[in-house]
Amino acid sequence: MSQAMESIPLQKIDECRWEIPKSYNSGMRVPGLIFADEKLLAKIRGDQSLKQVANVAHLPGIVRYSLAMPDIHWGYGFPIGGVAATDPDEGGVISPGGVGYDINCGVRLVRTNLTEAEVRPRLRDLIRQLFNRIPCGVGQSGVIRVNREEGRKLLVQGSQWAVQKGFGVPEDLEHTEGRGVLEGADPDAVSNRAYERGHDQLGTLGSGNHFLEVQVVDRIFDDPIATVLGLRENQITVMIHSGSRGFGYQICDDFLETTRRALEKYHIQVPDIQLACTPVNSPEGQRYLGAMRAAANYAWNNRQCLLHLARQVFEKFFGRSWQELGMHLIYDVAHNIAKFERYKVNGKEKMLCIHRKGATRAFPPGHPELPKDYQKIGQPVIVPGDMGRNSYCLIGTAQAMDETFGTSCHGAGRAMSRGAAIREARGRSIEKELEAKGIIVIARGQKGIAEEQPAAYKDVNEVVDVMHRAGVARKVVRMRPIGVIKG
Amino acid sequence: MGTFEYFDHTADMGMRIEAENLAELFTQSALGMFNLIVPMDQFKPEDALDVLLEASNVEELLWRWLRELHYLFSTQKIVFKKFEYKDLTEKMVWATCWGEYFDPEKHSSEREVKAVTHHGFQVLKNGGGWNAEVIFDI
Repeated sequence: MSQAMESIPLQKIDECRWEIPKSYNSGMRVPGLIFADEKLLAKIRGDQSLKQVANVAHLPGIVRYSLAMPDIHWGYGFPIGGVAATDPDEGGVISPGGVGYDINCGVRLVRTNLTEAEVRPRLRDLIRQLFNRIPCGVGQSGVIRVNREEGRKLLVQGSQWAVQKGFGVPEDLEHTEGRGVLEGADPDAVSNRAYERGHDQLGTLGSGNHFLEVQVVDRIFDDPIATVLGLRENQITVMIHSGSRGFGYQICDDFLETTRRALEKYHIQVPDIQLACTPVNSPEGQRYLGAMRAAANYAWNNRQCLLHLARQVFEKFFGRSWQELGMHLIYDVAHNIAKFERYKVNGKEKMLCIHRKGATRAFPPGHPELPKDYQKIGQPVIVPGDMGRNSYCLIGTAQAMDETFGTSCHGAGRAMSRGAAIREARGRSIEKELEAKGIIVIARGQKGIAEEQPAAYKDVNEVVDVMHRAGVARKVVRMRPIGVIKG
Repeated sequence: MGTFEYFDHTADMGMRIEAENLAELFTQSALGMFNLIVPMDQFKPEDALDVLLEASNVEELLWRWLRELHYLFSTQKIVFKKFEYKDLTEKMVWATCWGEYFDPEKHSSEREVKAVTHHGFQVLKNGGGWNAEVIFDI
């Protein structure tokens, strides 16, 4: 019953850019634009993500292009790694599938003043302590509980709430996308089921591709920018990847149903029911936006609480305060989100609804949204890879503003299905293989390590190379993992 | 007896069910979903909850069923493994679901299921039996 693969026509623009012409399908309102080189494209053709790029181009009010980053893979409706801007003045829509189930799934990068030599001898113990302290995996409750009234506050205030409660400091907010808040959250638009699923999950990692990694800076590409970020070779960093947990999954689920009904009401035709959407300027659209923003704010609180727990573990383990350990937040970015941002369209400035589904905002130097200390360098773009290879910190560019609505890639992108990864791992111990490479992995779920093994992902080095060569986001620093905890 | 098996979807998991009758279709779908989350042999059917759902067709009903059981697991952390149907048609299910509460200190787990998606969701009548496909967001 599975769909047959279809060959999608692609026109090569240059070494990093490919276009799906509008003529491919009469319903496409704009062309598709894919960032990839020949090698990545061969992998991308292995699933149905290109078809999904073409499908997204059908959305009412879509502006300029249906965009795909080099890490795209098959998602629901939208490809993961897809970007779409819609113009509310032109009947532009908002689509819950264009944000995804894990609303504001994202990543934060934390520096330390420790070196690999200091950490390596006690690494296993450190990873064990992190694993014991940070709730992860199925059915694990968080240690930070909030009642309904407090819950409503955190949904509106974003991670400022966590900072006020002592789970962080104001400088953490400065170094979080949008200062850790999406304005306009509406706690009344959130279903009881979402509240029920979210009530005990604040400060929990989750499972799947979520993780906390201890890393080492292994290569500097841009020394002046790395210096501003406080990064140098052999330095230990910590990366946290999580989102809005069951709270966000439930909101997406609720509004996929709402928007499916809206398709008929507003006479919208989409080629795939998972592209269900509603005009931004409709009661359904406004309600989804209110709930989605609440979930985004939940996610920023979640990552702030996870950082707080990680700092506590490091403090206890090394017997020094986190300030003495230099555990400053470099930046926190959202990977799954919809935001209103201003861009020039046909010479006219417009407020557009930017869907980033597995993609990262990448603002250039001088952008008013950036904190003062990053004004001259641009926005850090944190790109996690797989647990055996590398992760990156890139920096946003003016090119991204012109071409991709200020957006870059978000990760390596899966190359292998979970089932294929388990088959691949049969008779092997991925854990031991990683240990031989100097990487300690502790996971709660029994299948997690096999499904998340390095070979299941594309090489993040190839993905960021395309972004760098295309001028969308430039390479600054590369990290490699030495310790990983997973759900 | 009905069966469930998994099929590949890049970042997630697909499940195909073959069943001789509606009761098997609903039971196997549920067992297949819980089997993704936890190793099922650790759980006993010792606590029960009743589930009553209606829908306009069997496809919607099966989707609601999985969604409801997933919601009960997400909020009450109960893993169901035995189902007694008090009433079951293509538009209505009323079942007593037997299972055990998940205890992270006692039980091991496999992975979180984020959601039961509509992507490629289908239910087909196949002669006297039923086939279905569902993709779970992991």
